Order: sequence, then structure tokens, then C-alpha cells
Amino acid sequence: MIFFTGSPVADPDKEERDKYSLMRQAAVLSAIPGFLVVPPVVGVLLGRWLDQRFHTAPWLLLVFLLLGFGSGVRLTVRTLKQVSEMQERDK
Amino acid sequence: MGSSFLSGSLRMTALATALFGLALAASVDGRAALAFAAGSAWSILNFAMWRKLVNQLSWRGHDGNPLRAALWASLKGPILYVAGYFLLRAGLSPAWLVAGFGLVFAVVTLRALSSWLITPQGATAVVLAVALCSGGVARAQEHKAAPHEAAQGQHAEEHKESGAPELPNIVTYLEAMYEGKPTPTWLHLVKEWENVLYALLAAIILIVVFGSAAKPKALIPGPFQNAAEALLGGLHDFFLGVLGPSGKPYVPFVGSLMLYIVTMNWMGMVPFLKSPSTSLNTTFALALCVFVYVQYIGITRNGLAGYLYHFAGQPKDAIGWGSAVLLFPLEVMGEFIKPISLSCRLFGNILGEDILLAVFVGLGVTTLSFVHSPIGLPLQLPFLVLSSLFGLVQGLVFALLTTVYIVMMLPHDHEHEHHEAHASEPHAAAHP
Repeated sequence: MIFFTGSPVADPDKEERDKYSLMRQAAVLSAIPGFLVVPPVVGVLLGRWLDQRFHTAPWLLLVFLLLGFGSGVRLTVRTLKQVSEMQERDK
Repeated sequence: MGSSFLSGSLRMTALATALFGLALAASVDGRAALAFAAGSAWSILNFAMWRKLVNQLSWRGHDGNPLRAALWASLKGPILYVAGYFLLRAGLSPAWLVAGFGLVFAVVTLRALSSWLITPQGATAVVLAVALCSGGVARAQEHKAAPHEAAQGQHAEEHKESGAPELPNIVTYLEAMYEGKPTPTWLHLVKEWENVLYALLAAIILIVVFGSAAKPKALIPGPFQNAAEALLGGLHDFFLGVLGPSGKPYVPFVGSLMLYIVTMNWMGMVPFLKSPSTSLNTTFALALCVFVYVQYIGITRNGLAGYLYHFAGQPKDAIGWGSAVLLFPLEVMGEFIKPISLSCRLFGNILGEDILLAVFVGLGVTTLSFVHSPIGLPLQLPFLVLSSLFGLVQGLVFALLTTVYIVMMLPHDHEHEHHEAHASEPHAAAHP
């Protein structure tokens, strides 16, 4: 189990922080492909539904697709910033 | 739930088996009683071997014997596997075998639950509330989907049969028992509520396990209390490291969330159970809870004006306010994307693992079908290890992303304060 640590080391706090830091980074970074794929897909679905409802094809689809790309990139950038802040904090 | 608890439960199961067996022999027939007793004996043997194996593993403050543990681990699988083969080969009723197999679980759960009910714990009640909340949303989603499925009629049935393979669980066996007969109403209800019931079972397992671990409060804790304390302590330090000291009130929520999701993910590997996280309704309900909680934190910690200011990208000058018009819709959309992304990731990964297990179980059965063996080759074993790892990682990712969303929503000043505090005290976050 990852949380059971008992081996005597020179600086157990540092080793534990390094291990947690690595796990945190791996877990958060694994979310980034999702942030890049899901927003445009949701944008397209939402845009298409609104286009059908208000008969505005293809304008709302294009707007929401662009919004999807934009929010995906922004989410990715913010997450990366958060990871680097965590990394700085762990040093 | 120490060693003595398990020993007591096994003795009680043996007594219950004898009583039920006699009742079955008198009311049904001798073969049903024999099948019930055989299933129960197999299950008791399984539990007894698990206990031996766990006792040989070393815990903090307890000396173990790794060699003996390895010996028990290598013996346990083949002995139980061969015993299972002969039980099924003997032509005993599978339904009564399963009933006997489940008796020990029922005894352990009822004993632990009865001892816990005397001292109700607040944190465990929160887990149950989260489970009920997610269950309610999942139920509402299923209701919406029901008329659509009914309209598809025969096509839906055909599609289901040719759909992705899944391992049979208790509900599948119950359905098989009533094949060709009119299905009773309660079975329809159980089938409809399947995922919700399994999600509730996951919550009950957590309540029982951690309720039992918290109950003894011994000065010198036993191995079980030790393991539970080490796990909770590790989770506490881990999430507090991400949230910072100002995020301490949110640690129980994300910690419970991770334990709950990991339990649900691992349920798919337990025979006769199903992982409720293979349903998008369950994962979306959990993500919705996270979404609502994060927005609540945002409004209460920043105030409504601060909350909206956060969505505008926290502008400080004229250019910032100009770009806020562009950033606001991006931020709002990003906020709604988060729960969709969270739920799809968890659902897809766990469904994929379960399909992989089902495919390899099917392959194992097909491999030995030419000798008419009632059991198959255990080809799924390597993937069980992989599934347990993925189940843990997916639970971790879900909980960790929740903490990141909470951190993003917390006031920025706290972040800087925390950052500065850390610069002077580098060890504070890991060990507050």
C-alpha cells in the first residue's frame, strides 16, 4: 500500500513529500488529455442542439466549438500553473 | 474488526450453516442442504486462509513472516480453485452454493453493523448521504432513459445481448434462476436499482470497516486499527499538502470521496458483485456533487462579487477588464466541462477494465470447454492486478482533481499567504 512507510531514511519528510509530489503531478497531468478533448466535443453537441432549436445553423455550433477549444486550452494552462505551484511549494 | 472478531464470525457462520442446513434438509431436500453447507464451508475456508495470510504479513509494531505469507498465498489459490472445481463438478445446485458462499459475508456485515449502530459516527453518515444523493440522481437519470429504451423494444434487447461483455453478478444469477418463468416484481425493482444498490453497498462497507476500526480506541492498537489509522493519516497528509492549511475543512470530503470511489472500483473484482462506477449515471452524480460543492465553496469563501470576479479572470487594469468579456464565457464553460470530464474519465476507465476482465474470464472458460469443465482457466489473474492498480489510480485522480478545483476556487490571497508560509517552513504542509 502506498501510504505505509516505515523504513528509516536520512530525511523521511523529504522522501515522503517527493513521493506525494510525484503522485500528485502524475494524477493531475493525466487529466490534461481530457481537458483538451471533452470541451470541444461538448461545445459541438451544445452548439448543434441550440442550432436545431433556434434554426441558426451553423453559427452557434461554430461559436460553441471555438468556446470549447478556448476553455479547454484555458483549463489546461490553469491546471499546469497549479501543478507548477504545487511543485514550488514542495521544494 | 480484529482477528477475534473474524474468528467469532466464522464460528457463528458455521453454527448458522448447521441450522440452515438442517432446515433446508427438512423443507427442501438433502442435496440443497449439502450444496448450501458446501458453499458455506468453501467460503469459511477462504476467510480462514485470508486471515492466516494477513497474520503473516508484517504491520507496524507486529512481526510477520514473509516466507510463510508467500507460502499461504501460493497455497490459497490452488486449494480453493480445485475445491471449487469439485463442488461444481459434483452437480450441486449453483444457487444453493452461492447462498452458502454469501452466508459468511452476511454474518460479518450484520455483526459489524450491529456493533456500530450503538455509536453512530458523523463522518460515516456523510458518506451514506453522499451515496444516497448520488443514488437519487442516478435514479432520476435512469427514469429519463426508461421511456426511450421501452420505445426501442426488441431492438434494445438485441443490442443488449450483443453489447459489451460483463461479469455475472448476484442480479444476473437471480435473473437466470427465473428464466422462462414470470419475473417477480421485486426482481424488476432490484434490476432497475442495481447500480444504486451496489453504490449503497460500497458506502455500507466503508461504514462497517472504518466504524469497526474506530470503535476499539485501544491504547496499543491492533493490526486492523493500525492499518486504518495509517491509511487515513496518509490520506490526510496527502490532501492537506495539496489544499494547504486553509483547505483543512475540505480534507474529509475529498478523502471520503477517494475511499468511496476506490471501493466502488474494486467491487467489480469481487465475485458476485459489480462495480457501480461502470454506470455513467453514478460517476456523473458524484461529479455533480463535486461541482455543487466547489461552487458553494467559491460563493461562501469569495462572496458573490468575488465569485463573479474570479470568473472574469480577476482583472486588475483596463486591458484585464477588456479581456474579461472574452474570458467570462470561457471560464463559465470550463466550469461546466469539469464534471463532464471527471465523470467520463472514471466511467470509461472502470468500464474498460471490467470488459477486459469479462473477456479474459470468457476466454478461460472457452479454453477448457472441450473437456466440459465447470470452471475455466484463470486467465484474468494478471488483469486483476492491473484492475486493482487502475481502480486506485482512478479514485486518486478523481479526488485529486476535486482538490485542484477547490484550490482554484479558494481566495487567491490565502494562496500567497500559504506560499510564503511554506517558503519559511518547508515541512509544514507534509506534516502540519
